[in-house]
Amino acid sequence: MFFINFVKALESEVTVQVGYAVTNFIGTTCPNCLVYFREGSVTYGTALANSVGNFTKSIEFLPDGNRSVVMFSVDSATRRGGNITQDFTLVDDSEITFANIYLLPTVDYGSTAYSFSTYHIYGSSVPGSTVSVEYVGTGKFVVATAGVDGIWNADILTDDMALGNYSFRIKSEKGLASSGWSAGYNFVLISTPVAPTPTPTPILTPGPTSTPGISMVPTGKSGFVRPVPTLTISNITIKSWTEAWEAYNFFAEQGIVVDLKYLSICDLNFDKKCDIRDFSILMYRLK
Amino acid sequence: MRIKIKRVLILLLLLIFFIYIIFRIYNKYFYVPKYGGNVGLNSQIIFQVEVPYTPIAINAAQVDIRYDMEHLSLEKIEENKTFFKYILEKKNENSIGFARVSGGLPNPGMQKNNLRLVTFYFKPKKIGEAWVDYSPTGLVLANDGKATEVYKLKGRKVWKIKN
Repeated sequence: MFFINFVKALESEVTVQVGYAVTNFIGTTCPNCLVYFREGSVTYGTALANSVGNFTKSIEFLPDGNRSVVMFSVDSATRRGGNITQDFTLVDDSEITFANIYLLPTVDYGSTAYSFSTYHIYGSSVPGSTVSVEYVGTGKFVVATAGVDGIWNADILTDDMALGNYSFRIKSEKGLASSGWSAGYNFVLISTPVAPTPTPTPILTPGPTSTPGISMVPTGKSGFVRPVPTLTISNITIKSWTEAWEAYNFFAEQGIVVDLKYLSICDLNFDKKCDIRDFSILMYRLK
Repeated sequence: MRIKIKRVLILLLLLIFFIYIIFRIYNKYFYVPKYGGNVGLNSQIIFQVEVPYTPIAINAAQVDIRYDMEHLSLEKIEENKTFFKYILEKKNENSIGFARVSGGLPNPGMQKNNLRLVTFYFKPKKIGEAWVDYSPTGLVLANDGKATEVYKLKGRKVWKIKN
């Protein structure tokens, strides 16, 4: 009996002798998504969710004191989800576990919507979850269900919306679990552009001069300059195309509304995007 | 008895033919080998991106990878300059474990078996299991004026980092 009590005492002593603080995060997100754990500019680590979206992460050696760890998901298409913050106080030699964490869906959306058309919003969330999208101030509310692959889609028609600035927010729920509402995602509704001419001849015009009108000075971001690669093939200068392409992609990445004059020049397949597919078409035309 | 042997041979040939067809369809997608082996903490991991077979000339590619930034640090990206005459984007975001090389070459493009596109050089950061994934945003595009996707770069490679 004495021996058993002695062993039990020893066991209990061993379990508290951690030696450093351990913080465990257990939760759910989109399938195969990468979950980031950050505080300020410091990334403590990542966890890869499994095929049903479950993830666990143990972080050792976090600094003692008040912590505010931000978590978000990035799915396999590099779409990012909103932040979920976990505030706690960490004491040396302690272990804290946060279970039932439910992360916000990842989302892909355009910062520009066009009138009398469909505005596409989609992303990834917990399989089988209900994803609600509220278009603030419009009375539009879309409820979507994430598929087994986690993909959800909440498109709206812009027919009855006035031109201007809008925002939407997202929430995911499954059973009793909820992510809560995300911060607002902003977009602007503008008139549907006139279809560009099928042959974008200006970009292939020989000469060193860029197409007029392409100056990279968006509202509120004046003075921003980035080196632009020059593409010259057999005396054909297409500097303006790459400038347009670069400008479009840079602004799109920053969430800044892209001026249509950039888009109409570099969007060679008219899918309202400037991407590598347009570059492939351009390369094909350079016989 | 001879008839039976003939039938068996015909069935066997048909089976081989079907396996070949399935292989050709499957081979449209390029999967990376799953296991990269054991590597030392002080060694270098070389991750090569190749397109093994091109049914049509290609003129543009976007190689996107995600990598385990906890265990790996991307030190260098080396593109095949014969294919990437023009680089549109070449970036490494070590803070989120993402890298991209995109660009290509003018008409008539390039058609070559085992065409190496990019080589990524990683440095192991700590002991454990490290991975590199192809991101689905990667594209290999045909020189057909329509940017038809020819190959899908897909899969994951895993290494065991040891002391």
